[in-house]
Amino acid sequence: MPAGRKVSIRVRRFDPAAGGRRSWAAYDVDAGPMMSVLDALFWILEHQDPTLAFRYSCRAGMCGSCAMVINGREGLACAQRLEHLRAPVSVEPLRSLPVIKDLLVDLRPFFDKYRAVDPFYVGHAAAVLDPASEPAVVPRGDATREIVDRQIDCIACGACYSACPVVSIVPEFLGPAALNRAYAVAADARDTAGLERLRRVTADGGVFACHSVGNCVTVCPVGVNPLLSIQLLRKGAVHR
Amino acid sequence: MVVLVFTHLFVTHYASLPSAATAAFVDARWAAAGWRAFDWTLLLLALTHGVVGVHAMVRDVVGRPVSRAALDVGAGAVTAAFVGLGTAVILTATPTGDRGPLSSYTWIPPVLTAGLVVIATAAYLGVLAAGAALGVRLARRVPIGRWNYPGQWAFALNRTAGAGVLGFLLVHVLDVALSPFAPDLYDRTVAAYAMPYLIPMEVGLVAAVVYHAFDGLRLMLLEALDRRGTRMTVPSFVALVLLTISLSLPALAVLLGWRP
Repeated sequence: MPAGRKVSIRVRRFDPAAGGRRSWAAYDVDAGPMMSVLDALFWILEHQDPTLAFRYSCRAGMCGSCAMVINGREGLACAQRLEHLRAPVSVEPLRSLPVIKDLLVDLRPFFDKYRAVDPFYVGHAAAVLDPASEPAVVPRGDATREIVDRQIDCIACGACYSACPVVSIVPEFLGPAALNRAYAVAADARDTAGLERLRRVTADGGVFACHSVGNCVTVCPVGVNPLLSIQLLRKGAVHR
Repeated sequence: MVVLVFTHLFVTHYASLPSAATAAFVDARWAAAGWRAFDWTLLLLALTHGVVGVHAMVRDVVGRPVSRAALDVGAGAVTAAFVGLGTAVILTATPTGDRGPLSSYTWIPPVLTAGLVVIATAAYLGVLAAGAALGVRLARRVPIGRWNYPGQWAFALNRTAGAGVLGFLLVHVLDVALSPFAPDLYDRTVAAYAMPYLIPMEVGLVAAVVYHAFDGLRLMLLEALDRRGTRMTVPSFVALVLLTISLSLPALAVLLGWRP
């Protein structure tokens, strides 16, 4: 799509104060060069409809706040340029999450599940209290650490959660992001929560509810591979 | 199980026709103890796999624990009944000539044939409705939800194929059970498989078996390959679709009268 032209953007609107019906609204946006979908939403907000609601923060593809469904695929609005998208460009809120207004979703279910796996590593108390104690030593080139280093890049945008069909049909499924985080901390050589963490992720709604669909790998905007984490947890690859 | 399934598929859909599996064919096959053992093992493995699949689907779509337990018990009871029926038939069947004790029930073949036609019609209408719904959305450029992702198709096709094959397996156990008790009625029932209207369903059945079996192997392989495997989900799905089409076309050719 050439830049500097009118580009049709169709936005999925929802306003609970106006009857709560979901509908499509079309806008013709003056698309400048290198204009992102987030820029287009701001253009609509400033020039056509000041009531449009959406979430954003860093505008640089780092925070994950502006994750939404663009032309049917999950992605970051700030990282997708209009010229790379087929018009009319459709923009919808993330799936499997309650919509607050327009493109703004309530991320509480996502973060409740994230919290449920204790998304932090639990260290040895002795290592903190005793300054003479030796910290865990991770050798260079450690294969597990290589995977963990990649998986901790997750920005918790919710794109994988939205793209996962299992999340949509199994309400208790923890989802790709939470399970990825569980692996990243459980595989950390310093983590001591081991079996308790494994018990949580292998219970109902845990790793065995995943059907290896792989949408999470396809959509992750920062290249994290949640399916790999789930498979490694399933194999008990974090046992020490 | 995959080896047994493909041996069975080769015998009935590639080397011969489903409509040629007459009572005489069944008698000749079960004259050998090895084939009886083969069929019984396949029956047991396929029904066990089926009830495990039903359990997984129930866990996905039913939230209430009581309902889940009830459906699991129901599926287990149906499986046990079909294992019992199939086992009794395979282990005790003896050739009875042209007629058997149930041969006077002449309404059975038309009812079973009508059942096959109804199942085929439902399948055709389902495929047409799904295709039309997808086509309309694409034509109007309306987002098609998660169907944008190959993984979604792989998942849905696996479930659909598994449910379809399980449904046919139950019908198949019933019609084969007719063979020792009413060989003449059984022959009239299997003759219905030669109806042109049922040919698309029979090819669909072959495709469903091929897809479901190789998709299971694909998922096991991808999981075994760890990081490389999770990056191969899309290309492996494309390869699986091509393989399914390639292996289904010979079955279609055989059904249409081609002989090697």
